[in-house]
Amino acid sequence: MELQDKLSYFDQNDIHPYAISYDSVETLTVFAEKHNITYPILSDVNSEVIRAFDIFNHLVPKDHRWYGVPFPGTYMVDAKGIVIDKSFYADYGVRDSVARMLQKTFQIDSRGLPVQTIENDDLKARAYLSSGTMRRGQVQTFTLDIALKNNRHIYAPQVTGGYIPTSLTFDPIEEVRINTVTYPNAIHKKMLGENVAVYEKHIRLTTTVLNRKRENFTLSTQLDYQACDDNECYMPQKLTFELPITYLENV
Amino acid sequence: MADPLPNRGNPENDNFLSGPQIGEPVPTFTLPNQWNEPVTYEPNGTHQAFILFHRSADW
Repeated sequence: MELQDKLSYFDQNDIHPYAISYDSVETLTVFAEKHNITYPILSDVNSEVIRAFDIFNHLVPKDHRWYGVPFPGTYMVDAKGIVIDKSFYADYGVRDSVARMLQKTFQIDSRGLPVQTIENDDLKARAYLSSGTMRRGQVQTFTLDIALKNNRHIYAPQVTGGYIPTSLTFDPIEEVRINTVTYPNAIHKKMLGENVAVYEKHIRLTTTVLNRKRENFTLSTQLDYQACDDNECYMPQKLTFELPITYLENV
Repeated sequence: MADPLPNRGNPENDNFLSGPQIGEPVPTFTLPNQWNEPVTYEPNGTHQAFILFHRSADW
């Protein structure tokens, strides 16, 4: 279980996990012993808490053996009991990894996540994933942090007028769905009398990766850009990042 | 093999409108754990919470 593996991060950051299902205590006892689960997994046999949260799956017919299940998902809650983030997918076969939620909501990076850093005269770019392991149906975050150097800027995707836009593309991988890349907001720089959409200093590009594969794979991505400073432009560049991912079986 | 749930498709978590939304409080609860001991969740101002809902541990 991924949460069991990540328990030290929860302890260190004073985050208490509670896992709720409609199973009986007996079912949970067997499950916990089999998988050596030490965090609380809780039995909500009559779905009272599931209903109190208003996430009862009303789409399951009453005579179905799954009647009573919740829409699966996670609430991340602050010390006052207020939701700070939540993770739900209508497709029950898809879920955010615990590593992704810890990173996105609590800014906790897991140890040993795959990272590749490339540095040249234009910039320093660091590509990383929220986890180096993926189970089937899990969603991870891909992040590319770019620090521009030497007062150089690069161009935002929407730039027009002959400038080379910054673009991040992924090699397609069978059974892996890579979402649209989220680019940060551009700043508008006055150049030769016109406003040009550029990036300066530090920017972050992100996307999500949904795995349906049952084997290891490598996420390969290319960053295309051209850097300029106030006086001149430099050679357009293509940087390739490769992040290896180890497949883990679901339990 | 049981029939699939009828809600399959449309994996878009931002538009999931059931349940407490960001900025809203969650209900408190007390439920038995895997050792049949009662576990209570109640905000106490010190620890954050990570509340997961699973379909089942059994299938």
